[in-house]
Amino acid sequence: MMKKGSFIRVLVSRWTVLLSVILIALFIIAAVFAPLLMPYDPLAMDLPNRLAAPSLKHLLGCDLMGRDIMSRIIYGARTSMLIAFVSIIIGGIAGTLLGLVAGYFGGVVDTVIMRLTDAMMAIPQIVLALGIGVALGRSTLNLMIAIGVSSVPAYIRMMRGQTVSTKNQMYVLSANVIGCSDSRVMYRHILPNSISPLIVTATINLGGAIMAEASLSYLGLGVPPEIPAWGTMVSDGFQYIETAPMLSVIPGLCIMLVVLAFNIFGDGLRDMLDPRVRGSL
Amino acid sequence: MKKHKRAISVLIAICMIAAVMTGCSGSGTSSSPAGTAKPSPAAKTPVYGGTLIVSQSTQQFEDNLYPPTAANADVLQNARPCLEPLFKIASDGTLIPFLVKEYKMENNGQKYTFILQQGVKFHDGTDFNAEAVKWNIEQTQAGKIQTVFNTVKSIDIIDNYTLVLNMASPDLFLLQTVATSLPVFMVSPTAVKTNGAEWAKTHPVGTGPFKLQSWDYGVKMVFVKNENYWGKDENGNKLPYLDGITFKFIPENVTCTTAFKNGEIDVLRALTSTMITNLKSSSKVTIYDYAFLQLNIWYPTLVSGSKFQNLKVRQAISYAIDMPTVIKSLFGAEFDTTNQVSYQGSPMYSKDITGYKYDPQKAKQLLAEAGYPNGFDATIVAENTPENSLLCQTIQSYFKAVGINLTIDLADAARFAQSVMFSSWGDRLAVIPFTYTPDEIGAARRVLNPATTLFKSTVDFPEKYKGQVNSLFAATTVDSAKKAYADMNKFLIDEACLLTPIYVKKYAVAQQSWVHGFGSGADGEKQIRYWSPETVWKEKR
Amino acid sequence: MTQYIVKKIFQALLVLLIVTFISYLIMELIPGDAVDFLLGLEATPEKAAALRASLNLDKPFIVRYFMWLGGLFRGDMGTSIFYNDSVTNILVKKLLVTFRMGFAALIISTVVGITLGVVSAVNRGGFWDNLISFFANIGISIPAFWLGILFIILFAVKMKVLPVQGYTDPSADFWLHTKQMVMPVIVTAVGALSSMVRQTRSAVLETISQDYVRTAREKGLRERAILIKHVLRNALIPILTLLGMQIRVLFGGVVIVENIFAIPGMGRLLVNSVFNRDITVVQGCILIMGIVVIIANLLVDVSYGFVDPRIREIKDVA
Repeated sequence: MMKKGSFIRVLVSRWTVLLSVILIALFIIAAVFAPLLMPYDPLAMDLPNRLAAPSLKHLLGCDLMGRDIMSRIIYGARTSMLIAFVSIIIGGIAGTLLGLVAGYFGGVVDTVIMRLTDAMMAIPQIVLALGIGVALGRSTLNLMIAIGVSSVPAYIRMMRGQTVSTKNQMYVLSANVIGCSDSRVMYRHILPNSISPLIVTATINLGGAIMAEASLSYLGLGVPPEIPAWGTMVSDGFQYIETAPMLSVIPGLCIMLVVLAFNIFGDGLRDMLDPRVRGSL
Repeated sequence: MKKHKRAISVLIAICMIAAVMTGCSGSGTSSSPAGTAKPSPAAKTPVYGGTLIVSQSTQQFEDNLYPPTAANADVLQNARPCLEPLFKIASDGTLIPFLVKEYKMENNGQKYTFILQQGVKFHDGTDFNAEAVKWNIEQTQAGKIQTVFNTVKSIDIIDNYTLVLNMASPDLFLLQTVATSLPVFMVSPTAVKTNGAEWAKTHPVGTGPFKLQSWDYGVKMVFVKNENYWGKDENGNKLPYLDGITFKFIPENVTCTTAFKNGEIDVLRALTSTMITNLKSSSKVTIYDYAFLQLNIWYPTLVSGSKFQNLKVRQAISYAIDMPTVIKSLFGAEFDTTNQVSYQGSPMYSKDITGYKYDPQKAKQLLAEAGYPNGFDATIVAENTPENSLLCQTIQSYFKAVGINLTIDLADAARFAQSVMFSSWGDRLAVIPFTYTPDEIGAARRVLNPATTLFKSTVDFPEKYKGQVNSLFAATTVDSAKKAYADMNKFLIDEACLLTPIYVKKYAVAQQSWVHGFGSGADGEKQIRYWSPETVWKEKR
Repeated sequence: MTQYIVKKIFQALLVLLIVTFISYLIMELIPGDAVDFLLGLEATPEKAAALRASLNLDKPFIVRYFMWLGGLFRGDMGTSIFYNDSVTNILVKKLLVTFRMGFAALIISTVVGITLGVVSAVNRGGFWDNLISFFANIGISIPAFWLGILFIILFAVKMKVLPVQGYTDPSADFWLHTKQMVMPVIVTAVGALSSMVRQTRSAVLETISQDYVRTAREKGLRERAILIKHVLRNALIPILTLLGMQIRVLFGGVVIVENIFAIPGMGRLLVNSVFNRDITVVQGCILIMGIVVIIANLLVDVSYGFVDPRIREIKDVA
């Protein structure tokens, strides 16, 4: 696929991509090592310290219940990452499989799946997620399902396009002639070719999943209230916007930075993996 | 090139952050728009003219303004400028005759005589008389949605302005219920008979000081002065003072509050505690409130195998939460503590009830005695509102300190109503409001009566309690009713701990300094719950 | 060509049917119904049963769906349980509001987006390209509700140049209407604009590097002519594709923005109706949204046929 040297070269020559990788690394570190990094227990209420301004004791101040914002931001990274990754996995696996099947078998199967996809794409993603979320109830798992399911159409479309263009290639046709079973062909020949666009789509959708969680929390459907999550923090802090704006501004800033990092990284990844663009780097 | 880009992005980032930071330092005081002459010093003489802008931060839904079939009584508040009640009620509970000029009660509430105001006309020109009142009462009974007149057996018309209500059973509290039950507004029978009940849902034709001119659902309602209004102020001047009233619906707390501070809104209803804190910080705003409901934790004592069947567990939970501190630091002054099913300052509030003062040691001890020295897991279900979310997280924190692992289940309104109302809510704690409508006793008769209560599939009411409820129903004087209610409360809280009161919530309204008469009626009492649109006036600004 | 269009229309209608069925199904799966919400905790089983019967909520799901569908063929979208008005009446008012805002956002994001995208591509690697790309990246990463909150703090609370919230009919007060629309439209447009910039930039870049452009250049054509005649025309396809998808994205943005700025449009109506379990209104909103998105995509598909005749032959454009 790609030479190691050129990967590093690309990374360094585009300082934005480098920066985004660093941000993503920070995000993942915060998420994984949250319990070690947090100065306080994110759930520990300290009522006398309600809405405290940033100080040496609490670097980012305290929220409406006296909980340390810094700790909640760090833990929030874990929540966001968990939700984003699981949603992407749910949506990605379902969408990839459906797209693969639709593209490979064509005919009625293809029509049914594509019409369903069109139907899902006629409704805004947030509305779909809202409907599913309200139907299932407010919990972390349900949120992941809602976001995952609402992101499926994009994967189906992408995968189907890939499958359709790959399946008519010579080596696939020959595999069929030799007598490989359908599933074997799909798994061994078509799928590997689609890994790159899949990864790019997934990376860029990660940002979308984090945004979806934040938006749904804003509408009142996020993770259970005590679990720190950036989206919920923004919507909870909205009430105190004039007295303690940090409550909303900081988590929102974090959302934006992480989503930005994933988008830039996804772009860089796409450029790296796309042979035509790679040549002009 | 790259240096350029880096410098610019850093500069931009700094600018953005600076803008946000400067935007975040405290709130300014409200300034009057268009910097004209200062308002004249507090004139006590009412001024004629002007339009009152009333806003509330709750969604408007359900547009049924026809009292006999209105499913949601609060919606009818919106019709108050057009429709009027038979009686009004002062904040201390005294009845104020209104459309009924005089009344007589006989045989401990077996028979009521109403003598009506004369010279009152509906907006369509027809007379307000005994026939009209009888028709309204009968329509309410036929609608089957409102229960306020269910005990009225028959109505006799004595003359044009006198009627007698014969009750099926003695009802001491009929008039209080009538005064505080919003659906008991009088509408014109002729208008409804001519146009139908469907039409009446969106066209309130009553005796009120204003007429509904236009209605944009969910956005605003515009009322204009009724030139032929029957009321006069204490000096004999014709009412109302205002030219019109506009209701604006803005379902966003912050936008509402800011608009109010900017002077774009005259009266702001349905305030949340954060809004109140926000508004109190700027001067020239008066906030009126009255106790509206209280929140209780109910225990599923009827669910077999539930830990909460054990009295010690319930008492432990009651000792585990420090509500006074929570209210003071988290919820603000518009919330109040209570240790019973009543609110401080209410005539029904009993000083004999001990309640459970915060004592986590005792809570742990009781839990150990009950067989749970290491605590246990539990779930609490509440309606999905920001306040409940805050409350549940606080409770969760206190529970953790005594070893109880609480899972929070926030259900949206419809799901909550369904899972708590018509079926047992299972082995969970439920956060359920108790609304003081018309007052505690009136509400208790519906909600705390073992025979009819919605909780009967989840809560076990012992025989002793049923006896006390019967005493309440059998009470023939207001004082004996109060005593019976106090006994009930003592049992519910101190003896059986069937529920744990959390807080009392007050309905608060903010009024600009140039508005008069909204928070206080012509009788001088605080009257925002059942406000009098005819006596409201605005200073010229 | 006609056959192509007819086929597309047929597909669109089928998709629309599926959309309405899915949404009805989802609403059905949500626990609790409108009666639960309306009566609140003061309900009794008798009151609830009476209200349900009067609202036809006691009939089975499939029956109600076909009743709704039947009504649709007669041009009747049903009655709202809440507003007690015909859904058509309600939607017309709300749609107009949303449409004003959405259309303005669409025009801004498309015109400004394409322009900036072209500038960025032509200036590749240069100062303007870096600047525009940077902001475009931020634009697609910024949460709409956060941006709205920031705007409110800055322009309405601190600087007091714009009203915090609300909506006035332009016929009632045009100036106020415009002032009220500034922030919501910008917040809605930001995301769409940014993705338009990026898509245009990459589409143009891709086309510019093609051989035939190099040939045209060598033939001696002026840069501007090349740009317009060859590059833009061929870059149009991915741009058109994006345009079709933008409608869906804009609807999503409108839902959030209307909630923040208290604008009585379809987005807010939809969210509230889902929580209120007002099934007929939800169906009506979804139907309208579906129709608009599908028509937009239909137009895009048809325009492909004009822009690039080869596409008519390919089964489906992904």
